[in-house]
Amino acid sequence: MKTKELIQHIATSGSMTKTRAEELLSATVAVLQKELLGGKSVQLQNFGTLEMTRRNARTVVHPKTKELTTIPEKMQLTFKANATIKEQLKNT
Amino acid sequence: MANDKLTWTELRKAVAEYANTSEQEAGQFLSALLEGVVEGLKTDKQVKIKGLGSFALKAVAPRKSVNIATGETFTIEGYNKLTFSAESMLKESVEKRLEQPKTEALMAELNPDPLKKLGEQANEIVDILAELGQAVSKPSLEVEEVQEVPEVPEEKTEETIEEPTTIEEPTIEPAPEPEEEPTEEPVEAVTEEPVEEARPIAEPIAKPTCKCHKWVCWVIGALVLLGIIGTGVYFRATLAQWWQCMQDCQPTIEEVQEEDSLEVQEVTEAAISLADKPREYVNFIGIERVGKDSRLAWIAYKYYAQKDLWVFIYEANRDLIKNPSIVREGQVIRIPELSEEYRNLYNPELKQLVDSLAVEYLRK
Repeated sequence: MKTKELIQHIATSGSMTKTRAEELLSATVAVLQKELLGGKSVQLQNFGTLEMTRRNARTVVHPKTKELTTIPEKMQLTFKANATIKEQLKNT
Repeated sequence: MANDKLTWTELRKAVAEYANTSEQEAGQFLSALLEGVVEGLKTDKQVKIKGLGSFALKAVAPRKSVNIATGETFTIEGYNKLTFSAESMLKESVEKRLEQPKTEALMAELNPDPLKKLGEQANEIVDILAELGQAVSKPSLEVEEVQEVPEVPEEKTEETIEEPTTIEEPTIEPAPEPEEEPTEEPVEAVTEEPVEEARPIAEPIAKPTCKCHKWVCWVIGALVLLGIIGTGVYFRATLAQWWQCMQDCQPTIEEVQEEDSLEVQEVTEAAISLADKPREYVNFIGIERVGKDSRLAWIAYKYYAQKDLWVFIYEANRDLIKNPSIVREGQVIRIPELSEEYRNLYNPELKQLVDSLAVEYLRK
């Protein structure tokens, strides 16, 4: 589902105009970005948690050449799903 | 890592503020948004939100597992997993977050001002040596001090290149120095000072020893070369022997080859005779009444356990069978007795003979 389709869905189910939905969506995205990049973990009700996590540097072995390479540290955006949503989407 | 949490209500409030709307509307929107995402996942298995990223459902295959308590195996069912991958722009911004705070902290911790530290260290050294000088002898002290000071500005430039290693030095240096001072004898003090000089002047420990190693390395290299040449000279006698032996040995190798070739010739002569021997079928082990759609090969298989030996049956019945591929129904043919040497198809000569005969007969 693309963003536009999502907006359409919100407009119909949330009983608001498409433009309004779009505005609010861009607002939400902006807020999320700001908070996430600020290092906060965002909890979405009955959905999950979005947060910025750090992946530590690790040494890996190339299977063929056997040479060791270090993969550097990295920051990532991770999402952890709620139990409720997991259950809901388990067997769709 | 995230230290603070943003709760749902806080998020709602922030969105309301940003979009200049009531918290209620923001709340409605957020709920609708998540519902929409769930719907989208159910239908399309993927939902993309521009500026944020995409949520996707990935199928996890069922797998076997063991109940730790009882030891019995059971199957973990397959299911759909909710995954999220951030948009590329956002990913980049996130990755940058790694460099910024870390760099600042690291730099503040480790290298506030390398040159300044060096100056500090130099001062420390001078003080320490002044103390030492009082315990030892003044002239030696003066000499070392003089040596030290001009060295410091020289090595400053080298220092800047080797920053990372110097970091460890300042912390280590002050510790050993005060320890060594009281226990040192005059002789040792003098000898150890130049070494200490080298270190506290904030060159990495590696460097002064490397200075020694530079020429030591050359010496070692030269020794190794000499060693190789020496062993060459030592073994020259044996090497010469080997060389001669190689040359001498060649005629013997040729001799051996000649002998082998003779033997091979004999063997082949013997083999040729088998194939060329005239075959006579005098004794017969049975007769066969040929039925409809019968094959000589099957008959051969029946009597000799080898279908390829049909050629001999054909040869024995040439007066009766004109074309080996067509045997008329009702015909009676005689099955010859074949000696052991004609039945052993592992013998390549016999195999070759049988194959060539087959080709020859079938061509007709």
